[in-house]
Amino acid sequence: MVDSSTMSVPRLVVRDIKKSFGAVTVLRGVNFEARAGEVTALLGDNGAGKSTLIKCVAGTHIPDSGTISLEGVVQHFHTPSDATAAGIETIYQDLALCDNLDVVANLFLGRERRGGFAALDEISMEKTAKGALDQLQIIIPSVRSTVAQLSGGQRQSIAVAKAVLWAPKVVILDEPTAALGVAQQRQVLDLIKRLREAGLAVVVITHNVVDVFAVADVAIVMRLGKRVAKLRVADVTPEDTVAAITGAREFAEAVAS
Amino acid sequence: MIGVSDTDSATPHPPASAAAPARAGLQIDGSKLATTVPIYAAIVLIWLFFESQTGGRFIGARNLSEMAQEYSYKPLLAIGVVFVLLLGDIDLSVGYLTLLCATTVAVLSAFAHQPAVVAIAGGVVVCTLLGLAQGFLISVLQMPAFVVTLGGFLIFEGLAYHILSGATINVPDQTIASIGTSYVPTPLSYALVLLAIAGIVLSGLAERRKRTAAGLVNPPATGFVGRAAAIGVLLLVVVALLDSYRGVPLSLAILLAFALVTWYVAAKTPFGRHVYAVGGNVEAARRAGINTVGVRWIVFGIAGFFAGIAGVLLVGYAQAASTTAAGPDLLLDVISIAVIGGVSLTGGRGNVWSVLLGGLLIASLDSGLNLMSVDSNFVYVIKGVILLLAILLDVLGKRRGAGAART
Repeated sequence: MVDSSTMSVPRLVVRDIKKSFGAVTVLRGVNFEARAGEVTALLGDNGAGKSTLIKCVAGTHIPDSGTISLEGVVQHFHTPSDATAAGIETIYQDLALCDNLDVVANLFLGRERRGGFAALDEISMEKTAKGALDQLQIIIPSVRSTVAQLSGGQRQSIAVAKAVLWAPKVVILDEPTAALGVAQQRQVLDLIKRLREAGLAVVVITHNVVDVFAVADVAIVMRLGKRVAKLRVADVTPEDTVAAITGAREFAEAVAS
Repeated sequence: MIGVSDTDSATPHPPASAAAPARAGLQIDGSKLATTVPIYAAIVLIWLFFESQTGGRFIGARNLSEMAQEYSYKPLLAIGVVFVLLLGDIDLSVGYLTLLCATTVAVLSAFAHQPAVVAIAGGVVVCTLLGLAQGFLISVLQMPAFVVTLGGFLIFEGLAYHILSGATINVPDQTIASIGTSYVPTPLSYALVLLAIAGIVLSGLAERRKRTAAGLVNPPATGFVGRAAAIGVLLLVVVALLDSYRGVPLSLAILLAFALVTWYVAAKTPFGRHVYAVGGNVEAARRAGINTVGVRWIVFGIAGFFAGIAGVLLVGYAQAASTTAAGPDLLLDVISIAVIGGVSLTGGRGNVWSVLLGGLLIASLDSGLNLMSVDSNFVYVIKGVILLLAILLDVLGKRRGAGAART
C-alpha cells in the first residue's frame, strides 16, 4: 500500500511556505505533503511553526509566499471557508461544538436540511447522521443526546464526524488526543485509522510521539520554522523521532524534499 | 455493537451510559423534573396561601379569568425576552419599550384620531424598529447588549414620560378596548381546543410514520399518547373553567397563539436552531457559516415586536396609557417569567412554552398581592426574592449537568 501510494502525486502539497508576523519569521520556507490513505503526523516542539503552517493550509492565515496544491491544483485561500469549500476540513482543539445542541444538530450546524413549512428536516438529518456515525463506528448513547452529555472522546469523535460528513479530501486534526484519558485516546486513534481506511488524507498535529507510532504512516518534523525531517514511521524508532524534534540528530530526508 | 468504542474500551463507566438509548431520555426528564417540580409546588403553595388570606376569593373561575385578562401581556413580552436570553444576551429596555408602545397607540388613537388598526400597527412598528435599532448597535457595532439596552431603558422612559407629561391618555376606541377586555365565543374556543388536540395527534402520527419509513426507531408511543392526552385534558379543563365565568379572555388566546408560532420558529426552523447555536457557542456557530450578526440583530427586533404587542394589550385592558402602567418592575417580572420557566441566563437553554409556567406564577403573585392590598414597596421585595430564587434554580440545574432542556 505504501509503495503504490508513493508513486502518485500526494493529495496535499505545500511548497516553500514563508510566513512572518511583523519582525517575527515563523515559517522559513516549509514543504509538506499528505497522501490519500495515509496518516501524516506533523511533529515539533512548541514554537516550531506547526500551528501557523496548518492555519495557512486551513485558510486562516495567508502565507507570504509559497504554494498550496490540492490534487495537483494550486489553491489560493483567503478565508477558512475557501479551504473548506476546496475540501480541507480542520478540527481545532476547541472542537467547535455547541454543547446545548444534540449530535444531529451539531453535525448539520450551518448546513441544515429544510423540509416543508420552513421547518428543519429532522428525520432526514437524523438518518444521515446515524449512517455517518455507523460508518465511522462511533458509538454514543443517542444521536439525540446533547453534546454536553458526551465524554471527551465522544465529543472529539463527533467533531471528526462533523468534518467528514461533507466528504472532504483532507482532514487536519490539531492535537486530537491532548485533553483525553488513555481509553478515550485509543478510541480517537482508532477513529483516525478508519479515516485513513476511508481513503482520506489525514494530517495529525501532535507533539506526542506515542500517538505518532500508534497511527501515523509518515512523520514530518518541524523545528524553528523549518522542516527538518520526513520519516517513514515503520523505518524509525521513537528515539530517532525525538532526536529529530530536539535537533539532536540531522536527517538526510530533510534535504531531499 | 460494532467496532471499537466506549462500550468495549477499558473504562468501567461508559457501558452503563452507552447501553440503552432510552436511558438518556430518562436522565433528561429527571433533571427537568428536578427544576420544574419546585415551580409547580410554589404555584400550589401560593394559591393555597392567597386562598386562605383572601377569604376564598383567589381560587376559582372568576379570578383565573381576571388574572388572564389583566396579566397576559407579561408572558407575551417575555416571549421576546426568551429569544434574547437564548442568545445569552439581555434586554433591559423592554419594560419602557412596552410603555412607549402603549403611549404611541394612545396618541395615534386619541389625539390623531386614527382607526384602531393604524394605531396598533403604528405602536408595534415603532417598537420593532426601536428593537432593531438596538440590535444594530449590539450585533453590527458590537456594543454590549447590557449597556445598549440600559441606554434604551432611559431613552424610552424619557420619551414616554415626555409624551404623557405626567398625565393619563384615555383611549375610547372600542376596537382597541376589545383586545384587552373581550372573550372568545364559547363554540369557537372549544373548536380551537379540538383543533389543537387534532393537530398534536395528527402531526405526531405523521412524524412516527415518516420515521418508520426512514428506518428510524420511534420513541415509545406511551410518551406521545400521554403528552397529547395531558395537553388535551389541560386545555379542556381550563377552557371549561373559564367558560363557567365569561369565557376565554381574548388576551389569553393571543398569548397562546403567539407562543405556538414562536415555539415553531424556535424549535422547528433553521433560524431557531441558529439562535440556540449562537447562545451555545458563538464561535462554533460563526465557523459553521451561521450569520451570527444577522441572528442577533433579528432577535432584538423580535424583542421589540413583542414589547409592541404587550403594549397594545396593556392599552386594550386599561383603555388608557399612563406612566404607572409599565416600567422597571415589568422588566423584572418578565425576566423572572423566563427564568422560572427554565430559560437560562447564560444562553442556549430553555423554550418558549416556559413563559406560560412563569407567567402563571407571576400573575398569581400579582393577583393575590393585589387582592390582599399589600403595600407596593413590599411587593417589590417579594418579586426581587422570587427572581433570585428562580436564578438559583437555574444555577443548580446547570450544576446538575442538565444541558438538555431544549425544544
